[in-house]
Amino acid sequence: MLMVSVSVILCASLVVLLGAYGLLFGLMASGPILILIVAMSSFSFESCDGTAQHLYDIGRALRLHGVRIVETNEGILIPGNALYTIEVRSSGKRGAVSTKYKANWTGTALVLMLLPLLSGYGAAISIVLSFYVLFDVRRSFARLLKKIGSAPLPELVEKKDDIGQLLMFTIADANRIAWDVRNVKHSRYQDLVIFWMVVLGLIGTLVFSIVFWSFSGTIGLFEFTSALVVSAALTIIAILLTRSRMLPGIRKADHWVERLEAVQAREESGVSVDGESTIGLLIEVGAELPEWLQTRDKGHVDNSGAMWLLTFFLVLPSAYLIANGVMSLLMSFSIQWISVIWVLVGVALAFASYLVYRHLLRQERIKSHNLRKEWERRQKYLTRRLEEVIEGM
Amino acid sequence: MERPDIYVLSRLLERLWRENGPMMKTRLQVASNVNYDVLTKYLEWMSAKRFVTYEAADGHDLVRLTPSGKNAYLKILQVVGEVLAVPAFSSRDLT
Repeated sequence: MLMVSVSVILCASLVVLLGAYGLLFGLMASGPILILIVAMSSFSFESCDGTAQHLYDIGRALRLHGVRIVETNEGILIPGNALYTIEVRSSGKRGAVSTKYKANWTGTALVLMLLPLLSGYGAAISIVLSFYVLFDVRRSFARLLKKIGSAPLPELVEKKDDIGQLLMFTIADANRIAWDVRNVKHSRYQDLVIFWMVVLGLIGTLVFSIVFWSFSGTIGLFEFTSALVVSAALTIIAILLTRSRMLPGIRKADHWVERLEAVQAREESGVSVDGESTIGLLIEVGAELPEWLQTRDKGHVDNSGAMWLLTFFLVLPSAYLIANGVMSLLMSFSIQWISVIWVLVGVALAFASYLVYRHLLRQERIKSHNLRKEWERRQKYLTRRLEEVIEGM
Repeated sequence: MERPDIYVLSRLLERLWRENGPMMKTRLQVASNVNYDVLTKYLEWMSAKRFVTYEAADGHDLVRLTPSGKNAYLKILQVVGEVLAVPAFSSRDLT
């Protein structure tokens, strides 16, 4: 009976905290999968048939077809879903344009794929997920190209003066900022949901199994099922609480994007003169800037794929060493030096991980701090200049 | 009125600029979503600054934006655009 209990606990610990296990055993078997992931991280294709449109036209075409886009300095970013984004870049001149479409994984996708991968046995899940995303990306590309090439673009309404152009550019800038904030809020929500699923769903199962075992002195199907049920219930409660806390902010960000996109579409089409005031909306955006910056500041680190990966690879081996060392000590009911060494190495590795993470976090904070100062300065400048304009009238 | 609210003033200027011609006061009020009394005060202020001129047609009061008014609107827009145009947010960091 004791052996059965030990096996169950070991299996649970291996499934949950298999960083080193994955690295030692799973990595060899999962090598091709890692190659696939690396290859897919730069999954792209190029269109250079001479009929490709200029990036600006592509952006206009997508927007007119209802596709949400973010204009960046390098090109256009199309948020696909929580797993990937599509980036469109263009080079060359009109008539001989080369347009490149590239799919980028999000941090969420990387974690979702690597979690099962590290368990060794879960590599199959990674394969299925990878292929699902691959097909989804391909389908999105197909839709994208169809939309771009389907209908001739309506000519831009000739603006009577530079006010029209300035309005279009300014609203596009405001829309880009609002989109960034919206993406941060959505990503933070998705990341938190994944966090609760991993921490409470998996680790919670292990912890509650140990708790039940400590009470009953044994562990079987009943104890393990009870642990699963408790963890699932706690996970659902945590997700619901997170949802109720974050949903108002997400809806607000979505509403800002909708308002700005509606105004931007109107400015570009030039069809309707009625509707929300563009300048009024822009002044409102100016007042929101500090809050948006704060959101962006908090979301920056959370949404860095590299940070996720680094933390992930550093923390899991240490968790594995600590868990297995502790379990070995508990099961042997005596001090085994090898187990103690495992625990100590695990703690040292965890501490080193924390130092690395703190260093990266500090660097990001410095960047964000400078950026915040710049935006505070700009907001004060906006208020002062508008007052000057009024006084000068 | 000593000092107009920049938000209300900008909306009125924009709506008149979009019309690209004379506009009825009542239509301007509805399109700008401001109280009639407030609109009257603002139009008086704008008229004193020569941003708008009044016309009459078929018994209706029409308001037209002057080049000076258009210039004032452009100035406000330039200030707002100058602040928002800096690409300080990088979407690439957020993917």
